Amino acid sequence: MKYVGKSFPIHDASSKAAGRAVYAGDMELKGMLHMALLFSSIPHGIVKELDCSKALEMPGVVDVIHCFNTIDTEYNQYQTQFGQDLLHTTRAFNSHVRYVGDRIAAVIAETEEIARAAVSQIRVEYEELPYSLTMEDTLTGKIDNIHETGAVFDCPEVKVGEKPEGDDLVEIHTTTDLSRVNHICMETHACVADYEPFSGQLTVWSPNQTVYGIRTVLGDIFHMDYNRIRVIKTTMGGSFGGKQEWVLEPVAAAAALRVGRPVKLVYNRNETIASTYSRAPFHFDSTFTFQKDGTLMGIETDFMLDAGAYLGNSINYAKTIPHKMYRAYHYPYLRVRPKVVLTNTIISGAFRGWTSPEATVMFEHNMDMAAKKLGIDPVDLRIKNVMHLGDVDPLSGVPIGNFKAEEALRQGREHFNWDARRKEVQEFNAGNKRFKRGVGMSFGAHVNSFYPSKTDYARVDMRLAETGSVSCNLTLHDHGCGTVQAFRIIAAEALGIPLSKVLVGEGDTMYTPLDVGCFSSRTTYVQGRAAVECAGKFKERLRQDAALLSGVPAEELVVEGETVHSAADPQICYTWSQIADQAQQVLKHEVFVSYEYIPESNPGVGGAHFAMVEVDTYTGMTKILDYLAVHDIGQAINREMCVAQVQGAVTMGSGAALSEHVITRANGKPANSLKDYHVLNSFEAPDVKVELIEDGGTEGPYGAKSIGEVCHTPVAAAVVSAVNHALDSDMDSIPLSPDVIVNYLREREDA
Amino acid sequence: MLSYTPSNMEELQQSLSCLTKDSKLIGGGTDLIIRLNMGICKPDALCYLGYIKELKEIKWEGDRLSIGAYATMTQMQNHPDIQKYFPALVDAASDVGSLQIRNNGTIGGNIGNASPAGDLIPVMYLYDAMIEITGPEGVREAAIDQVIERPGRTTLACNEAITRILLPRPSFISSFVKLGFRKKVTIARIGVALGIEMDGDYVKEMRFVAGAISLKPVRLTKAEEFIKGKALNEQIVMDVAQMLSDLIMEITPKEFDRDYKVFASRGVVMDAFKRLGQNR
Repeated sequence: MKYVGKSFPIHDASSKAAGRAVYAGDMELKGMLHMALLFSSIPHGIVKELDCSKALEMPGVVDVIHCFNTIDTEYNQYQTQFGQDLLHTTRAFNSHVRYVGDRIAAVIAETEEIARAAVSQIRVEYEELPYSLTMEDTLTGKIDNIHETGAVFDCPEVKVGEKPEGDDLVEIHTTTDLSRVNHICMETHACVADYEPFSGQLTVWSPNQTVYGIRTVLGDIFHMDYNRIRVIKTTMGGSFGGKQEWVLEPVAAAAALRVGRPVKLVYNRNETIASTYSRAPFHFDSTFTFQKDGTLMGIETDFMLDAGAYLGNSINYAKTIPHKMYRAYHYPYLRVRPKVVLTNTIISGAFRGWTSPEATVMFEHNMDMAAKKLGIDPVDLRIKNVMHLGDVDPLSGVPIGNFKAEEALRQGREHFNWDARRKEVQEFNAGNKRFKRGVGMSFGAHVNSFYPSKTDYARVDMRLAETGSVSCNLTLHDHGCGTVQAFRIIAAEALGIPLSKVLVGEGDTMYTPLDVGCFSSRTTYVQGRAAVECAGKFKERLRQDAALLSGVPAEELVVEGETVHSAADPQICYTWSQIADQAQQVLKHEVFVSYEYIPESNPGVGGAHFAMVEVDTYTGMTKILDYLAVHDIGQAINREMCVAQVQGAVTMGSGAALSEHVITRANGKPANSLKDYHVLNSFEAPDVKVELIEDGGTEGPYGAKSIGEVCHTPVAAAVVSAVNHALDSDMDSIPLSPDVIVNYLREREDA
Repeated sequence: MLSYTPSNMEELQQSLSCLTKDSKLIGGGTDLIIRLNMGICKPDALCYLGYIKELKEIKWEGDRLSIGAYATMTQMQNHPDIQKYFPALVDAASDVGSLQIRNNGTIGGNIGNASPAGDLIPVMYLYDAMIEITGPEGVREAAIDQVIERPGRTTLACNEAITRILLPRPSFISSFVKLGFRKKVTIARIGVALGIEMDGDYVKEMRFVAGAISLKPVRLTKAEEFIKGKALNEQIVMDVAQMLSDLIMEITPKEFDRDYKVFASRGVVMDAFKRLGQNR
């Protein structure tokens, strides 16, 4: 292959490096205003009175919109589809405030500085209500009045098979606690909205994962025809799921509709941490049942998810967990009981992997504990239980397809020197009082699309320019990780023309086709395949046109390079440029193809991760000494970008494992600064070796599978595994911060 | 907002005479600019010290090293005399923030901020630093402990500026170690500035200053007494660590991560002694 599997810089790398790329926060429009928000400073209460008079008197202030003077449609910030079955509990501005960070009002002003200064002049009078910051506290009934729909939701139990019974079975019980983590994208949240009152057109620019989803939600909130709303995806500085729910868009749109001018809203870091959404805290109680030889027979897990103050995606998120339990291993029995609990804290929402990393921390820890109890090597225990070609996911009924889990585990074990290193660290630890080393691993798997649970399909249009280049029109949402370039690679390969002759754009509801958005790692697998198919149809169209123009039967013509020529007589040859021109002049049409594709598979896609750590048992600080990630990817499209995705994911997941945690203080206020929220920085980021297993054999373009989320799935579990190996411990709460480790060691010393 | 940009000591004195209690001195601005941007500090005037050549000088004055208040972390960490005689200052300056912060952050600013987690402050205690303070009327000197009042507060009047730091040439070897939330670009949870003078194989005198465990740096006098005349070995170091641990238990408020610090002090003390060996 000419392009697929090679490495190319992302499409806008140069313009980003030069500072020329325009993010939503950089946009300037004629007559544009700015806005700043007033957020609740209390965790739970009712806004009794709002005095905006001082703010309105300030020069440069245009208007103040708030919970008493603007649209009060209830919606769900997670909604993306028409008529989606969700509980609607939030509004653009809330008078019943349910967490510190809840939106109350917004000042619209000539500059951001004026808007922010005016916000501080708004006086709020609250009636304070009892609040709960933990799931345990909510279960006492303390905040049952938080929404009309209540504060606790028991989701239906999910069950597969029957509980195994027998004398020879070994049960392993584990508890797992996951803390609240934030996406910490480089780009904070931003949105520009414009309403032109004379045409009645609302236009919204934002970095987001589905332009059509936003259109739907805005149409429903403001009771507008969907075709009166145009949503344009802007250059994005990272999402990781953080920009797939609608936080700023409804607010900015409300402001634009009010003033009939463009309005820009940019959250700073503190606002982005406190007032968008984070990954939910979880508590799992799990029992795994094994045969003595390590065969996994069944799993029971009861878990609680902390939804925060509003039900965004939390019920759906919780319901996803059982589906993530059958992506890597097969076993005859599963019973999952999910519970969703609201608290007066930051709203929970989507995060890279959509419960796969969370479930994997729980799953893999239990596997580690089982390996220890059964006296089986942890890698062997995984190999014994992973799925293979021919296995079927019992929940979805979908075949696991060409899944190379066992190969990834075997390759990783060998290349990481697993067996030797597990022994070496024991010797190191025997001779070292302070520093303890551990070698751990995990296996995690994910999906490649919504198939079969939700509707999934993709459309791609291709048009030929008179210069012979091809414009691909599809609804992409590049997060900054190279989606656009990956699609140029796929299209250039499939069309057989140079990369420079392929133009690929991003989502814009005015022009690009309807699309469910960038979710579930579906972009490459579904839209990418659609692009390949579309290219095939496009080349056929060229052949047909050349046949009409030349009089030579189509079956005697060959599409090759940038030409269509006769197989028998090379003199009969049209360049693509000539076809574009003569199609217009002679045949009276544009050379274009529109193609829709529906996926029919969702194979297993996974990664085996191996970590070696050193824990300072005097300070609780953990250092990752070495890391290997082996991924069953099918086929890399843009190789170095796939490797970089994995490396970034390892840094992200290691942060979740060791240090990241949004602290909520006793008064309900979150620590919303990077001073208190510790991501791994470049000094601590591990050196990550990445290996890709590429043997195609899937429905994806050129046999590709997903990478963006699956590479984040095993990370935290692998680091936890290594720390537990180092300390001969059984901790399963993340982050394993210095404080948590020190606490554990102190209790162990005392005991 | 007014701005003053004195370019020599004389102009500085004139500028200082115009400052009020709402005015701010600005050096590298690594802390102040953040506060200005956040709107939590709204000064009526800023007085910038970066145009005064003398404030960037590092030179001997008799037996004391004079460091201008505008000397940056990078400048100090690379200075041969500081490297030779004041290695604890090199340890501390080279561990402040990131390279970008160290290129801008100044010693005067670090002291003037009077943060309990200020990395250079325990080191100033270690070296018995004298702080030269310039006001409209002239120049005075005060010991570091007389300058640091409480978190975020010095004893300086609103129209006074730290202009130089004077460090007597020490007879002891020294080191500084900080424990933060992570390895680099982090804020100290415990900082230990250590100085030891040996008499053959025995400790003649030890100076031990702990930062970030209380509102101001604290001398671990119990350990300083204890170690006198003893040979250095692992057990002695552990005994000193235990004394720091006990002190933290006694004086650090619980919500100041006391329990963590009580436990982790052992590692910091070990590292400080280890680094002392490397700085020898």
